[in-house]
Amino acid sequence: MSVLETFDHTTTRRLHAERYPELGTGPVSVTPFIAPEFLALECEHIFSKMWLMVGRIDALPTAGDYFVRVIECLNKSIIIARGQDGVVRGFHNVCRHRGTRVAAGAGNCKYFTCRFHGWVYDTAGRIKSIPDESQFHALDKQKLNLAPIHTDVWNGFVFVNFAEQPRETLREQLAEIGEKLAQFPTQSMVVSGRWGATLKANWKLFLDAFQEGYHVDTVHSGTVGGYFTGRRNPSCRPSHLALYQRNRAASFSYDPDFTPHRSELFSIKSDAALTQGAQAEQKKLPGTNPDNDPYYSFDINVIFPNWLFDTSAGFYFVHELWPIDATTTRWESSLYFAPPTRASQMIAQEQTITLLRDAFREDVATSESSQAGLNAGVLKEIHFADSEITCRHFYQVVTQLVQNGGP
Amino acid sequence: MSQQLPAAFADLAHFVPGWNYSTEQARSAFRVQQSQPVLEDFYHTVMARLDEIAAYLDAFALDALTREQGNLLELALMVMEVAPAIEYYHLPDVPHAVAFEKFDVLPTPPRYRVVDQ
Ligand code: FES
Ligand SMILES: [Fe+2]
Repeated sequence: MSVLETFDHTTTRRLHAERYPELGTGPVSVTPFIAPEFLALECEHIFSKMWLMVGRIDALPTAGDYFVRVIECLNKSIIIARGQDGVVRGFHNVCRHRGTRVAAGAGNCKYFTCRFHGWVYDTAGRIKSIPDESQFHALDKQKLNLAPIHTDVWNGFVFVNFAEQPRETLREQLAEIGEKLAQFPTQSMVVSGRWGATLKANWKLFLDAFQEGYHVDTVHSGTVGGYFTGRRNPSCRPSHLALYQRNRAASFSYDPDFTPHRSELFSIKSDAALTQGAQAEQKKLPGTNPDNDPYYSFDINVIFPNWLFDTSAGFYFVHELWPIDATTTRWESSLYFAPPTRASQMIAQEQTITLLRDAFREDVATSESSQAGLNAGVLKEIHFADSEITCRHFYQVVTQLVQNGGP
Repeated sequence: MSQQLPAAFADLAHFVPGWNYSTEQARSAFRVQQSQPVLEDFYHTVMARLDEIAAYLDAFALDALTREQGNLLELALMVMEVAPAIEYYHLPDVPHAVAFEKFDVLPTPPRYRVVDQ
């Protein structure tokens, strides 16, 4: 496909289906979006077997720093801790005595002490002391350390894998996207906006809201819609698009006719901004804008199973989607910018923080509405346009993994 | 009583206290509770001074601002919070969105520090 075709956003040809014929073109079943049995299979074959992103290493700068993460669909609570030796490890948050949690929230400590009977573990998970130990019968202390979880780090993101023996390494699972974004400078940015919602929508349905642009002209007509749509690309079709084995990436462009408002004019001249127009080209970061789209705005990188690492010129944002039940999801999103060194930079960043947050609130509302419609049982099938091929690909990856019993 | 804002911005003093908050959480909760005319007045008044505010504050280190400088910075951050209500929605809150109460604006680490003299 020529570059010119890539950037023709009004063609009636369905270019992605031509390029990925194996994905088919027909409607897809609603079952994976509503059925508790389907979620149970996803938990068994996907969430229990694959690498899951659980946080940033920046949260653990010094020995003894830790955070606890609860993964409700697997009934897991885990501790990610930096031991006194500097190594970051993951453990099940389950006391070896009778199962009680040994930590909550986040903080810094030398030891985790169980609140039930006071067993003590160090930050490497090793059992350190057992009150009134003489009263136990032949304890094998070798087996009393907190149960470890496979833990790995890539570009500052911490991942865990609950499998006994993961079938793929983290790098194998990240594959092309891991290579593309290995040099994206996450370490030079800090969390500047963070939002969440527990919403009545299937985790895949809500993830789809962040991987297609078709809704932007309607859902976001009140916020960022005008920036992304216009004569050149009325329906916010993706420009660059790459579907990998399980991950996928796309880029979105801005409308050259967009007229920035006063707040945006200030941010564009003072720092990176979501609605930054042509400035984006000058601030290009490694791994972004693969096709050198002259009207580049940002990339989505949808990393299987449940997170997006969306990069742009001078900032990035992450979405995490955690199923709670078949039609309830905990979503959290974080926006990262370079730490401001001047007030004008911080003020500029606040404009993107506010507008992006309000746009995400629009996404939550339509996704809950869409889920309610599917729950009504009227539809057996739904339709994906060629511009929504990211959703079609995701659907196919999930259903195949469930069928095949995992990776 | 000590000065609320640096002398050059005394004309904005009636916004302090009231419009200066240190977190996005507090700023967003405040915005959605105001009336549109009140937001418009704040937006037009502070936006007109934004370049001067930024130029003034850029001379100071963000980890050692005085209370007056901190107040001024918080007014500038608030004008960015209020901006979409004026520039886009023409309403205090974004319409067709999940209710503000059902959406979590989560805490983030502070990006500046006020040092009390
Ligand atoms: S359950 Fe932890 S010490 Fe008893
Ligand atoms: Fe959206």
